[in-house]
Amino acid sequence: MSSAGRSLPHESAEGHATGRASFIDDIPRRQDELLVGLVTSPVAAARLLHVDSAEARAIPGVIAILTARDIPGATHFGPLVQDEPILALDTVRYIGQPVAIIAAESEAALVAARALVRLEFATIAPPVLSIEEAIAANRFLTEPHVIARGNVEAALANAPIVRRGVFQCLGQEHLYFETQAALAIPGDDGQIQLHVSTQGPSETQHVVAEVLGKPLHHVVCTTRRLGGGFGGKETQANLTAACTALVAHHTGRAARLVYERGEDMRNTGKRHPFRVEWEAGIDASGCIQGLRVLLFSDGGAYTDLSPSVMDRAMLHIDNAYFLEHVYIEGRVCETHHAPATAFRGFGGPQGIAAMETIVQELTLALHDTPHAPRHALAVQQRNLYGREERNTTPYGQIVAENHLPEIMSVLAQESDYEARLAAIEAQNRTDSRWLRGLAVSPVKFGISFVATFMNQANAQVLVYPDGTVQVSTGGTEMGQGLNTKIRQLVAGVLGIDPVAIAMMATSTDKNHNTSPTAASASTDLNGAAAVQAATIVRDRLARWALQQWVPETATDLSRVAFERGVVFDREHPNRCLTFAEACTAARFARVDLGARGFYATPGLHFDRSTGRGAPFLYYTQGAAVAEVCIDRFTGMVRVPRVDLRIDIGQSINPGIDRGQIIGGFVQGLGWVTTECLVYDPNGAVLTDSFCTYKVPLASDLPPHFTCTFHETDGPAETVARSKAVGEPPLMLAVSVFSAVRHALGCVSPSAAQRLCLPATPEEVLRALSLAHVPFSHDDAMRWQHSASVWQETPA
Amino acid sequence: MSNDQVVVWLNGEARVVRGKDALLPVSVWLRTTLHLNGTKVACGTGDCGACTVLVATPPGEPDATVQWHPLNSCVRYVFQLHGCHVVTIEGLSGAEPLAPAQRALMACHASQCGFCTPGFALTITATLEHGVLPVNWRDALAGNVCRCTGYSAILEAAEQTVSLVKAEGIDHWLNTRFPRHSWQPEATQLYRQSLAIPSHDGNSERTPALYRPATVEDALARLAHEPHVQIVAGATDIGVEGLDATRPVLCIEHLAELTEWSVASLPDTTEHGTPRQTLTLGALVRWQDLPEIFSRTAGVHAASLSALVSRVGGPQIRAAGTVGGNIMTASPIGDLLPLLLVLEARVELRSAHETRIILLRELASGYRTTIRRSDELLTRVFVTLPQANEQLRLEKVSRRYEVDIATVSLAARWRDDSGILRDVQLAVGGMGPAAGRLVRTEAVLNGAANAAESWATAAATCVQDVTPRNDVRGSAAYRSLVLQTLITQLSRSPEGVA
Repeated sequence: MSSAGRSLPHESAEGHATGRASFIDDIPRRQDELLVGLVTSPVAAARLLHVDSAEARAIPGVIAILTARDIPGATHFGPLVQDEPILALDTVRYIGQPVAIIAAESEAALVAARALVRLEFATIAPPVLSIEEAIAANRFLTEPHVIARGNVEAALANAPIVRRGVFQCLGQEHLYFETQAALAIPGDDGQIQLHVSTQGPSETQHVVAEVLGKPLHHVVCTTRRLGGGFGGKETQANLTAACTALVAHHTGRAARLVYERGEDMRNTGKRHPFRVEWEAGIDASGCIQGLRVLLFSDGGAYTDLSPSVMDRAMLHIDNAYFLEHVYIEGRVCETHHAPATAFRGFGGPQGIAAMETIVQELTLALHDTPHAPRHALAVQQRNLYGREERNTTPYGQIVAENHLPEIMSVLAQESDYEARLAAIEAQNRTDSRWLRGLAVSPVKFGISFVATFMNQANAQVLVYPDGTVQVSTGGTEMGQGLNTKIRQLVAGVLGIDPVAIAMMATSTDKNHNTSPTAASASTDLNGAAAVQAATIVRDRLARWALQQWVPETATDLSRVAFERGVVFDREHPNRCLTFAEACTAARFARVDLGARGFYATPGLHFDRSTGRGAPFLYYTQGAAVAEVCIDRFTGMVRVPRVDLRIDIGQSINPGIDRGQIIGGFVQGLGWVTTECLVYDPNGAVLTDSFCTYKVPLASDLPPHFTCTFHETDGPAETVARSKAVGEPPLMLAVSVFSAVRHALGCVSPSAAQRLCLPATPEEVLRALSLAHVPFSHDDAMRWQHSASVWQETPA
Repeated sequence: MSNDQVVVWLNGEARVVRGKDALLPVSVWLRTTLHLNGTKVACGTGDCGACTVLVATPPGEPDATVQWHPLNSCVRYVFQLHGCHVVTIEGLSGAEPLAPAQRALMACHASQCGFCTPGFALTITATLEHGVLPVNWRDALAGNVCRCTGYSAILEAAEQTVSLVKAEGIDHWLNTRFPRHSWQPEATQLYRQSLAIPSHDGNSERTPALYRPATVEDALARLAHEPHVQIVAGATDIGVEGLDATRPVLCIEHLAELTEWSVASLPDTTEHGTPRQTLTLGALVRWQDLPEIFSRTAGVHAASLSALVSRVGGPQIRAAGTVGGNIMTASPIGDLLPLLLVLEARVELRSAHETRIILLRELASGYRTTIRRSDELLTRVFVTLPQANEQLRLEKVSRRYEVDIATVSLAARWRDDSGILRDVQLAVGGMGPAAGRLVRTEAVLNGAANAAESWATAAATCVQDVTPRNDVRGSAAYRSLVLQTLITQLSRSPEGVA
């Protein structure tokens, strides 16, 4: 019996629907517990001269106020470069940067104390708040990094048509529903027990140990579930966890910190804004001849994961297209924003949106060329990676199992692309109010961590005498259904009902040295480890059963079947036991009913210095067709229809995967349309609530929406031949942005060229209002999103 | 004699709340005082619906159906629940089997991280308690945000709930599980009683005094006595800002006479052969009641009026927010204000000593301020309903289509008298420090030919009437451009020229 492939409900479905599923703020309070709050910087760029907390300390109920001087161990942290202070020492670099920690016995005392901690600053210089300002000021967090192939100079020189342009996009707020939250409890012998809403319990353990100056075995980090992560709790949960740990360390009392929504939105980093300067050549047949791109991201004040995000953007700028002559250079800018961090797609969305813009621009450039392809889809199809040739990425990996040519053509046919395109373009010539657009965009997303060492996982399977099982892995459950899938996989190995398996909290004292739950790879990694652990236990049970049934001869373990909760001899099916009976008996026979599995993805390598390698185990591929309808009077965009098709191999749980696909798409829809981060001229986040930052609602789901799994056998090397599904669908929403550009391009090419991402009503109307003004490359170099422009005039 | 304790039915059981707990937001009371952690708080500002609870007030008529409304517990205070019945997610979860909405959400993969799920379960349940089938779930669930699922599975779960309810014959799940006789008789008495809770001054913790008068007269007397009170109606605004601990609270939300409405012809203002109709709205008429009122009074204009209402907040906000509250917060956007301004609204301000009626457009004195005297209470609003021979156009421009605050809103009303524009009224929100009429622009249009050039001239004039704001919702340049475009296009059919 296999439970893989079944749409079983989420393992916590009942807990979710009843409100009984517990998040960090739901854990019952201990009597000694302290509330923790942070004092953060109100200025973006200054020297911190003095922190005066004397008055605040005197408030009854205030137990401790800690600053950087109270940190016993490492004062800085960071996943790649340890350049980010837990608490500001002598400088502050963004508004919302933690400066001091308050621990109090009541909310009222905390609020009162926060108002009385006085910070003294000396302003250094006006803050640097955009990529353009950072480039001008030569402020970078990294050196330029290059991936190149062929001779791009010659290719561009010889190309019949060459275009230049700039693609720009803003960031995105994660808006996970559970804010950053951590609880630290002092334990025996100087140990600290943490409960943290983190995607990386091992990293949280490491950061806290370093900050407290403790060895790793004195810190345990436990995570049962997250109320959403989306990348925002991959590294940034470590700061809040460290703050609670410092309080527990200094006071000997339990300490909990749960950000209020506004604090979370102001203090934490977001998706990286990007600026992509490009030059591309194309021939009359629509074949891309050469591409040169310079990518700049806004990394914010500290390094965090920015170099890795830039790497993935560079590795995805090709999107689905073969680029024979290509030069890709990426560099991370340093600004006075909160450090930008991981967000579902991890640079992929920015790279892919840039490339789709380039392909659209090249299509427009072919407009006057006789016999050239007219539509973007034709140019896209002309340049897709081939199956046998033209199938090597700029970094040298072969695109194996390439389903995109088929996905694109089936999707175009099923969605009636050609006929709708003609109808829309005709209607746009006459309709004075509504402007429509239609676009297809493909996605080819590489699966695995680019940092090869991170592609490892372990799992623990404990089988009890009553036949029930506890499973834990290093992967965290944040809504994506990881635990449900692992439960199904283990149930399949042991031949039991998934209900007999409890998924236990991820905890570093069971599953240590793990990678964060990220890169869409957690089922691939942790699922494989769990299957291995379950197989070890099953084999021990099989060996024991054979000894009972045929002690003299049998060594072939496959002779023992584990199906439907029963263990039996395939050759003599009357020799059978329930799984529970077998477990009870095996325990008395001193068989070890617990095991640990370990998995390391084989065959990966990537040399960052040469930009060459095969960093990905496989690619998840898909495509979407989106239609938009724009109000020419107001710039408001509606999305009446989307059809998407995606290859996720053999789905372990189609219900969960469908949720990941649609959820990812809608999150991407928000990024490209309504989700607009606005800062004031001092660098403060103005969009710091659900009231001002607008994510999609149920009414924003396209009324006509289809989601189809493209049936394939799936990769032979993954667990149950499944494919990763967490991130790729988000990038399918680039089709919506492309459709807006297509609509604007129907008015004039310059309207499309002016559009930055997201396509908010203001951004769309600004582009439309300048449709009659030709757009030059110099304009492009200066152009900025309308949400940035408003800063230039006083509020 | 006043009570000094709040009595509220919670999931079928009466609870008594004394002292400072009565001044807590409902979500805090549930989670911190009662340890009912199923209610999740995600935004804290009434914008996401995660903390939804269902509330029933005792119906005025003893045999009327008990109505349940979803409300955001993060922007509602415990004292507002006096004499009411509240159902939280625990009230659904205690059932065996679980409520249909919960079972459907589980079966349809409608939860991912699960943080928003209790709110959805409650909203679906309340919608089906009274809803007319088929339900437009995209609108019914507009007050509940989900960041994980993309809503598709949730919409499927809502439809599956409908099927479960039909199959199991349980169309009044709430009123069956919490039958009216178990709480309504006592609650009705309490709901009508006054309430007074003294202020509390503890260890760096302070809560204001609370007054909940039994009648409008008592409220006016309290205002005369303590003019600095903070008035709480639906609390959708003050619940976000939080109560001022130094000023007593006057809760008026339950005053039934301020929820009434009526319509009357005004013979003395008869023009052009048809009598003008005046709609009188009590200050506590809620947003959710307006579509029904408009459909019964506004004739051909009912649909566009209701469309405007449907884009203000989600069901949770429309069940709490009041017409009077919208007017008195005097916000620059003022959701309903541009419409009321072109309907020549007048407002009734009452004090213990006098009643005065002033034009709405004279009420606002600046950014979020009005000329209301501190002893006065806004009690009624009078609007002149648009006639069938008049044009009414309502435009709202926001970053997100539903449940977003307008960057610019425009209300326009005029009459075409044989090709000549008459009685032109234009009002905008979101542009300046307060919503207001475009007086100079109207002057350009009145008496002009109803032709594209007139509207274009008017559009160029509107910048003389209002200096646009520059803020988080949009730049001044964008606001100007949109407003001018909208005015230019008013002469055209709203559906565009295909």
